[in-house]
Amino acid sequence: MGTMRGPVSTWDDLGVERSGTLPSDWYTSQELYELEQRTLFREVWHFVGRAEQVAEPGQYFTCEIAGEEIVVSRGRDGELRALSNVCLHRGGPVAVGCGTRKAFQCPYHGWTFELDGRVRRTHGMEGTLDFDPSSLRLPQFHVGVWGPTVFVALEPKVTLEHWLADITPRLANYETQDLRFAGGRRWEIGCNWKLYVDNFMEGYHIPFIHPGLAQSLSPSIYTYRLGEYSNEQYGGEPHPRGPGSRVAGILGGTQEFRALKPPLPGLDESEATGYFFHWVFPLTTINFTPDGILMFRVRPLGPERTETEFMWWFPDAKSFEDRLLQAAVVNFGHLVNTEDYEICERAQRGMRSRVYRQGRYAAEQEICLHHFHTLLARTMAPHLDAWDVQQGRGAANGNGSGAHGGREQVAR
Amino acid sequence: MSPWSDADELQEDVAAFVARFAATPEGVAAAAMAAALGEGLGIELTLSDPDVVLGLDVASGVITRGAWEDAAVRVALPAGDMHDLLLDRLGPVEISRLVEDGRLHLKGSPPVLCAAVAAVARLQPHYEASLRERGREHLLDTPAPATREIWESAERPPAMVGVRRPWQAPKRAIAREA
Repeated sequence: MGTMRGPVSTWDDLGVERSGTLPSDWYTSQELYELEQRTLFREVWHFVGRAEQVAEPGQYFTCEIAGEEIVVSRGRDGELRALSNVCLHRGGPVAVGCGTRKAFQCPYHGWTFELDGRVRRTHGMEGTLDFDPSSLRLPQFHVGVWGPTVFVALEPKVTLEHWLADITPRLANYETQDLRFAGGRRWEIGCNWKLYVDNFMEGYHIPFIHPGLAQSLSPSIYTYRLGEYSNEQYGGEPHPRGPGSRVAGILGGTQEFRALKPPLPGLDESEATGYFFHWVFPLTTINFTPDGILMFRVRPLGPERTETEFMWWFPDAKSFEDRLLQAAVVNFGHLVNTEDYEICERAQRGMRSRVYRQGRYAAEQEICLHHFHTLLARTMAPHLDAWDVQQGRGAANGNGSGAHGGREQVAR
Repeated sequence: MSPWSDADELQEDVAAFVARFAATPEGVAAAAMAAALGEGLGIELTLSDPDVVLGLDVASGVITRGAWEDAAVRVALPAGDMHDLLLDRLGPVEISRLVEDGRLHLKGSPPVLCAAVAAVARLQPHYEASLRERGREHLLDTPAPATREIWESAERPPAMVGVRRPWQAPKRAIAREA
């Protein structure tokens, strides 16, 4: 019989060599999902949109984090803000979608707001006492630009610069490429967000799930680096066994493809001959490839539903042929995503099994996976204990690390 | 939406731009290269809306109507998508989407497909030029599709786990080789 901490089984971190993986109820619990929404997702930085969407004064886009409706806008003063997208009157949205506006207007009763959140105009409020619209302002959250992206946090513990410090140096050789957003694809997957992130955290599954990718990457050039709020996996290409990778599944081996499409100029040798897969705790991945940047945005929709968005940045194609080859790169990424989609949904079904509780890490290959779980457990530990207190069950002997806490499990 | 309602007209437009390319020094060089491949480079182009199957002999620049059994490359797509592609109206994500959505089908060995990509890239500028020269500018007025968007599809992706890819040798063949 296991022990419980908060609404889920205790996870003991004994190091990657000795620990079990996260218990299965972490992937299925409605209570944990709701707790994550109330706590974890309010504390962390989220990739919410693209810097070019709010490059000019008046431009805005809307987004949602942990149930909080947000509008990110560039004010007339040039300042970027993340404002509550909830009208101060009766809760309607002050902005919808994205675009350019001189002011925001709630479609419900017509209150208007300046781009900096101040109330511009109310109407029909003449008889209302003790009401001074000039003192009202849409609440503001934390926002920052990183490379081609915009991040927002509701109640962050550290700055965006600190959050991304381990990855920022990687941007240097790509920022000079004049990369442009090329579009992307949104998927909804029937699995918990952690299970989807888990899948990104290791290359152990690549030979089995991604036979094409396996032939693009060298098993002898696969390295890991752990950061404070992020980690990095590096897969070198080409495969030492020579041609055989199927870029886009159709265009031959890595060597043939690279003969047609050389890497971006100005990249260092490791960037030009491999893939840097970066993950930012908890919901963002940033992949630096020899051809451009691919980012994944993960959005939890429920304990067993997750939305993901894949977004590409490329330099403008130099020719029609170059554009076709960029399309081959996108298509190869699509193939890999498709392969992940299915296995994640199948593994989610496994999480509901009554006979599976947890697995073991492949100590040399699932280092980043263990890193993710330790970060998660550390962040959630006080919230799991607070949950126990609220439930009147008494806190676990929580030490803040997420390890060795817990009370006896009554039922599963 | 397809700019053509008539398959004969569509065939004429495709044949005209291929012939325009074939008459250029680059076209002559491409034909020589295709001829040097031995059996030549035949492309079967299956267009829909309107439906027509065309065979393109790259070595001779001749287009014939009907299926081509020995084609080295088979391409199938809606005529309207071919139109947008050849007018360079699609970005890499939109071109990949043609495949992801099952609208564009490509079949052929990797080296031949690589050669076909290069060939299509050389052909592409002749498409718009040919339409203009032949007084077919009205086809250029068709609205360009949206690009640089994040798109979604309600369709589930195909099952891939445990399915051998077309380029992978059958397991038995590997065992025999070993």
